[in-house]
Amino acid sequence: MDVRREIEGIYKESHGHLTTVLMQKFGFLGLATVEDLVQEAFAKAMEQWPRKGLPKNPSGWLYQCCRNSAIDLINRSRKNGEYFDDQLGEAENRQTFENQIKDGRLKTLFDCCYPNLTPKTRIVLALKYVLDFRTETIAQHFGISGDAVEKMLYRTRQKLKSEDIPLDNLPDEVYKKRLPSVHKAIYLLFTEGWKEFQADERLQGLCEEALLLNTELIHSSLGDTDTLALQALMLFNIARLESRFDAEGKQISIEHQNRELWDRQLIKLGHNHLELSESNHLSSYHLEAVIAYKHCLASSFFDIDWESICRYYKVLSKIHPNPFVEINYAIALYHAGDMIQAHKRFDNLKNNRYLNSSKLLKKAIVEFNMKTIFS
Amino acid sequence: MKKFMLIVREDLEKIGKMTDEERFASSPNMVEWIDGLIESGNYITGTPLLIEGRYVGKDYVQSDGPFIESNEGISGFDLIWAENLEQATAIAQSCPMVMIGMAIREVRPVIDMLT
Repeated sequence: MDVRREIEGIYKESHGHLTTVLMQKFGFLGLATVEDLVQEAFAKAMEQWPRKGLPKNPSGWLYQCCRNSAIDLINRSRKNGEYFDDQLGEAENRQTFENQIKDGRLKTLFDCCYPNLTPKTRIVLALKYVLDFRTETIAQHFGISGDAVEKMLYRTRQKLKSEDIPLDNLPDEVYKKRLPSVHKAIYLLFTEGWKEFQADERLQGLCEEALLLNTELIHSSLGDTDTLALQALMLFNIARLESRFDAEGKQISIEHQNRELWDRQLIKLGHNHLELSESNHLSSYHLEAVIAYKHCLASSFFDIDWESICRYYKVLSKIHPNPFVEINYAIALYHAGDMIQAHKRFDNLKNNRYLNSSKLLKKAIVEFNMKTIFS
Repeated sequence: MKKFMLIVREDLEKIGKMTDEERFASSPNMVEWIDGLIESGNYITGTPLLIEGRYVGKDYVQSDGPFIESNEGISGFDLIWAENLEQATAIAQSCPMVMIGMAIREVRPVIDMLT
């Protein structure tokens, strides 16, 4: 087989993994630089391998190549006495967040949460570099081509480079500032695994992966009461995971889910986290967790405490109004018997050109078996 | 999270000549993009605008105000949540209409007394 073609195959297969491994060791260089090192290594392979033949262990060769360039880069900046040098020294002495976390994946997740990226780009980065997903899996999941994912990763790299994100070990304050973005990213990873029946094995495990990352965050010095509320929310949801689809992978409305399948232990664990998350600061995770808990408490659909749920949605729609909250608030109002308010809210959503055709809102309608009201 | 308005600016002279059907058939599918933003909790609301209206000042009302001739006139808006101006900008850049070069998005922070 043509060596070039073979290299392209290796690239597709392993460039994400290589980046993930390097980030664990040289994460302080920043994702953009590490990605560059990987690109350079492949360029070198393209130049050398067709002449010299494939090495015995191609991925080992590539790793060594990246590692050497990384060390070169560090030594060069040390010699030049650049600011980078101080930071290296400082990084060695200082008790940084990086030293406190055992899980290199969590560190990479913080790196993926650069402020100027869209939430979706961050999720693609996280799937690729934190969870080591194959480009094809990501592409399939988002219904786009593998090339589109590659292009997105490439553009991100260019963007990070052009905006001169420093090659540094981020100080703890930066990590603290990024915490809300990291919460969001973890929650979005969770919802990616949650939103539909996942035939793909890796995607099935996405909810657990999100839970594990958040557990690690709780155990690090950076987790706060929002982290605990998020954990509670994910636990309450995951407790219901199995009852959400029938044997054919079709969604079952909450009314017809078999509550016997709900995992009581996970609900209890979620409740523990919810209690621990109590604080003066009320995030949307707190409110969503309490609502999920109210659903878990009801022994049947007819026992659901819709009045309380309405109260929580009312607060949510004040602190973080969005169409998803609106539709769930309308559903809760409907079940609580406040038809006038419920219909008013449904109509507002239906009258909007975009929201009217939103698949996501339609899914919420299916979940609560309310097709006749919304259509 | 802060609120931002992403104003859509387009060639109004061109789309003003189209019927609504033609206009929306020629523009890329916005629903998927918006669904993505709803899902990530970033969307609030938004809508395209009809290409007609009045231009009103203290002493006059014009039915063919500058907005009709402008090639960067306002043709719609979306209200979103974003962490900062940079993220709002990145979100605006990912708008399908911007990506195919059919519209410009003006990104403006909203003064919000509550947040």
